[in-house]
Amino acid sequence: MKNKRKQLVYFLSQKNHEVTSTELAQELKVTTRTIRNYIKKINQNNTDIQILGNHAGYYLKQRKNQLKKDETIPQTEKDRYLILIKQLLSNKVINSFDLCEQWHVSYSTIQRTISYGNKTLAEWELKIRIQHSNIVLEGDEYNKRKYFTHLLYIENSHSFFNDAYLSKTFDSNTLHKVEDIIDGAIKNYNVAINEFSYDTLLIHILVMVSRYQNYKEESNRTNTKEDEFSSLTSETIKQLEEEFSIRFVTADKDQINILLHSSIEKNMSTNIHIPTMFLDKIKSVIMKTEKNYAISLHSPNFVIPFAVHVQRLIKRSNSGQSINNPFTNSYRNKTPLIFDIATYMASLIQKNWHIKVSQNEITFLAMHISTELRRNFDNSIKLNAIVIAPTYLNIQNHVVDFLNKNFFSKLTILHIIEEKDTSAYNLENYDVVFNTQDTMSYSEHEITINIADIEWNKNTIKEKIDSLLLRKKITRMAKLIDSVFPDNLFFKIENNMNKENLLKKICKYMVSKKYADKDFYKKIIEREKLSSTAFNNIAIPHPINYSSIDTKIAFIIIPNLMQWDHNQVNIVLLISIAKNRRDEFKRLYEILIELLEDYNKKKQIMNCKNMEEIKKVLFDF
Amino acid sequence: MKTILLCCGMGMSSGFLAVSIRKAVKRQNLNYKVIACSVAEIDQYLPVIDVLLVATPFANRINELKRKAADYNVKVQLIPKADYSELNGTNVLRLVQNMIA
Repeated sequence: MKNKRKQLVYFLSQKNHEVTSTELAQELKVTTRTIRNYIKKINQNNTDIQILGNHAGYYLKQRKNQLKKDETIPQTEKDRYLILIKQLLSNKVINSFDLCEQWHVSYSTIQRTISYGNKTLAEWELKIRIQHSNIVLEGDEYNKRKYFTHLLYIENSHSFFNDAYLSKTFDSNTLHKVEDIIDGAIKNYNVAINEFSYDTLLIHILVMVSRYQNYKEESNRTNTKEDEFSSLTSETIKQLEEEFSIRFVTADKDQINILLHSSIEKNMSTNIHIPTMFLDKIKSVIMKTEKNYAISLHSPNFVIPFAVHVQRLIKRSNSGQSINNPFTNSYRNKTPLIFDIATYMASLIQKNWHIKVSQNEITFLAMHISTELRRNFDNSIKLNAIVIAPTYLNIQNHVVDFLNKNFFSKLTILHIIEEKDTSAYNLENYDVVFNTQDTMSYSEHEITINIADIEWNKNTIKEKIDSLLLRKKITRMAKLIDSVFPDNLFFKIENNMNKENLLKKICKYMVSKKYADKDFYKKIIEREKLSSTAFNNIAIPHPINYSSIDTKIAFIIIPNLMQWDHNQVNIVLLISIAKNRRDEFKRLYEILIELLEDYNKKKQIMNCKNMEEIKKVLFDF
Repeated sequence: MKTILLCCGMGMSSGFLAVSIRKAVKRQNLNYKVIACSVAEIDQYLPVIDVLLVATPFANRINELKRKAADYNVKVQLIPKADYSELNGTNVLRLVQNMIA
């Protein structure tokens, strides 16, 4: 008996259309009446699956958790259209009669909604039609993706996407799988991606994957040139293909490759060979652009991936390949200036290599530029957060709104869940867990939110967030900290020495260790002559430019105070910075001076006996 | 939100002042972002900042910087020497508030 029922469910799960009871009866070799009984039992005993029927037959419905929540009935033409089109774009099969029932509307209302929608869709060369009783979206696959992306962007015009929103649009299982694959790639290849690019990448791949079922067949015939992609790209593509049992066409692989490489912050393409002549030409394009727009684009983080990109662009153009970019509209509207810069660069590229650069290609250039400008400006790190709160009385929304309003720049809320769902999430993976119940604690990095006086506790919450954020920043820099503060650069000065002698002595030592050039002392003094480097009780002597061999800091403590121009200091940081590690160092330096403001830490530092202890006090290592 | 950029030769001394200004910003509960950089890096920040404060040793370049900044509607001031060496964030913040008032 039970086996027959299982067989029935399996049979239905293999079909993506309705099956009549006669067909089912034949398949299971039972009567149609028995089939009806089976279905009744299955629907009674199972919470996760349900068999529904309509005039065409039975079909299987996987019950999803969030389905219930979303089942608010849309009231206006526009709302109905938006729900419908998003379902169509996510490849959901929609039966027009089911929809009537679900929304409690007549068939003619559905038809009105469709003709309302088709006015908008005409612009994208898409059309909704009712085929038999199913509602289908007709049009070019790329136009569908473009429109999908566009919809997602207009609904999120002022904020980053969050998981809660995305899991409403995409199936949350798909969402988490894609996130896992991207996160895995970022981790395995030790690259960094900023929030903005992460979103772009995530949305793009989600749209791609969720649309893919549509043209599986056609994609089999493509031959791929895997060797042209980096291992990061190949690995990511492979994982996506395996996870979703799909095969990407070459153009889509190209897109994924470009997206990955235009969003990565850390340069990992250095081992890719680019002909010097070609690179020089690219550099001249970049120089002209820098002059024209007064921006800085010459960091190797930008130049190399950009050159690689242009190389492929030229190849694509010469072989007449076109590549689709679903972000073209959103980019042009959202960042007109960056788009303008990209257009300018494209015109230079056209002239240099006698090729034509399409709007889609210009958008990819814009994405490179935008990543670089953001990297220059905002290297902030955010905390990945999960919120545990009940849905009743709108508490979840209340908490999330509060967090977004006050701590948007510090948090990315990845998941919003209820207490009963906590076991499905590994809470140790989040930087911070916000919990509205104080009965149960889930993580060391937990912040309890008392919903009753949330505004009162704002400052306490802020302090906790700040300290977790600092911790995250320090953890990310652990390696750098160890290399910048080597054990042999700790000094405790207890005799009476003056500033010049101290500097001379330690500079000499650092030169002997090959941390700095021979003229290190000269450069330090040159800077000292400009203006004093002492601030309160700390002095930070450093050379006049970034030209040292290595980035190192000598940590000098002077328990009896030393006269430093007009100040008296007891901590001296003698700093040597190499040019290529400037950006990295800057981040560390910011945290360092912030930590040195801490009175208690300063007091403890005076008792330290070696660099190990200093690092322990400063960074809690 | 307003973004204030402090600059000096290497962004190191101004980094100290930035910390002090940030404290003052925090006390007054203002929505300001305060960052520090080297003079060489100013160009890349100009499109995204509102105010540029220049360290005393670069007084001789103030006119050149003012001209550049004008294209981006960024206001430029020299940091008073006393406030700079005493790291008086409160004073500098007052100066900024007057500039954008």
